[in-house]
Amino acid sequence: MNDFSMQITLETVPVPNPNLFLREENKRGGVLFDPDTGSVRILNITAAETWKLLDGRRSLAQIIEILKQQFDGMDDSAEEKLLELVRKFFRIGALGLPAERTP
Amino acid sequence: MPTPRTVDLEITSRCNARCRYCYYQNNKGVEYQDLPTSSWLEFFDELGRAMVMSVCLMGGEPLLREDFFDLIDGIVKNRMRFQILTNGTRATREFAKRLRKTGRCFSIQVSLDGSRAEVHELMRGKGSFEPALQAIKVLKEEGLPITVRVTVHGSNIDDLQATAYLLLDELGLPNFSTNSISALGSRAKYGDNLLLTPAQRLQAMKVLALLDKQYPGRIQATAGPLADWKMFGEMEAARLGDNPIPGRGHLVGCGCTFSKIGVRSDGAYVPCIMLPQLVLGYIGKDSLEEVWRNSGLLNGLRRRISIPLDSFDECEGCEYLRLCTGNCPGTALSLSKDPNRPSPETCLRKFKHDLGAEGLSIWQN
Repeated sequence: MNDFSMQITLETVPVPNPNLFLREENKRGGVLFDPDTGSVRILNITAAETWKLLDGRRSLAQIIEILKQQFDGMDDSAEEKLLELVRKFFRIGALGLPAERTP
Repeated sequence: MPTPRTVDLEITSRCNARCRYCYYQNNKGVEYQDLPTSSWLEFFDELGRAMVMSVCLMGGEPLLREDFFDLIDGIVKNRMRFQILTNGTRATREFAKRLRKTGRCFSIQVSLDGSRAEVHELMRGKGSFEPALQAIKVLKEEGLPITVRVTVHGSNIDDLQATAYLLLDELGLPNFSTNSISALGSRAKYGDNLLLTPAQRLQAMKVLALLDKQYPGRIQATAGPLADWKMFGEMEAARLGDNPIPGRGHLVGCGCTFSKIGVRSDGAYVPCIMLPQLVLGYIGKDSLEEVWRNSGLLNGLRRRISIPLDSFDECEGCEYLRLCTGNCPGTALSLSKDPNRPSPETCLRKFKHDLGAEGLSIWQN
């Protein structure tokens, strides 16, 4: 399987895997559930909000702007943290690239 | 939690077996009727919107439903996983292949009470052993996550060793689980005659404890003699060491109402399948989220964890007070007519009293 995770930039528009869903169980975040594998990944509040914004239309740059408005005190490292989180989502198959981008 | 993570679904009241000790049948106040396919499919859509992660299909015998795979399609479409509890009689190879293709079945449990027909069929009925055994073999061959439930009763304790050998060594299952006959259901018809006597219960505990050592991690139990052995042993050790077990001393035995809900075959929401008489609402009429969040009955059960055991007369002076959980509200309701009381079935003080002097000396050894 090709690893697209390292090709991710702020201009990337990731596409979420439609099979996975986020269960928000409390105000601290939620669980990302994959019914095909049964895997349950706990997301903190920032990761959960990021997942909710990954709609296949927004770029990562747009998402980070929204997150900066939602969360006070996001510093300069926020962009790199977001990119790392998104790369993780790619590596577990939670995200993909739009069809025209796939080699 | 805004919605349950998992839902137990009694998708049919029909069963092709007549197990003498069945917990499902003979419960007063329970309507035994089936819903049409459309009702279940609409409910699965609601479960999907509610982000429920999994369902457990049971009955009755769930494989009797002619629309079984239509229901499975509805579950899969709504991004859920599922497990099945079955007697295995309808689990053909074709069924197994079709089930495996869904990719969403994470467990299929077949009931088997003995290593040979003479033992299994004492309670499960004539002709039931071979189909169950065949089902286990076929499901395993087809790569499905099969497990087996052995219900312990007075007539199969001496066969437990052979049953463990059959399941774990001959058939190579990774594990099996045990429980014992419940006070639910059958008790209404047969009284206490089917339940383990204190001496039998102790004998079963000892046999299963030895098997647990022989097959470490491969015999599971959340209720019944093996679970009791572990729980009672933990409580006894804590008492002797004068060490309270954190979080006990209240009715904390049940966590189900915080993550799970049940639905009867007639569509009634119930807190748990062990509390089938406590109706919270009906699917198709009452919203799952509304019932889950706002049912007074359900929230009352959740508040059990704040009820101290020393508020009950039957717990007065008990040396295990700080160590006990009060256990299952379902058996409490069956035996004491009140789910918000400790269950006498898992009372260690009562168990030791009922053993008598001879039994107690065996227990202590």
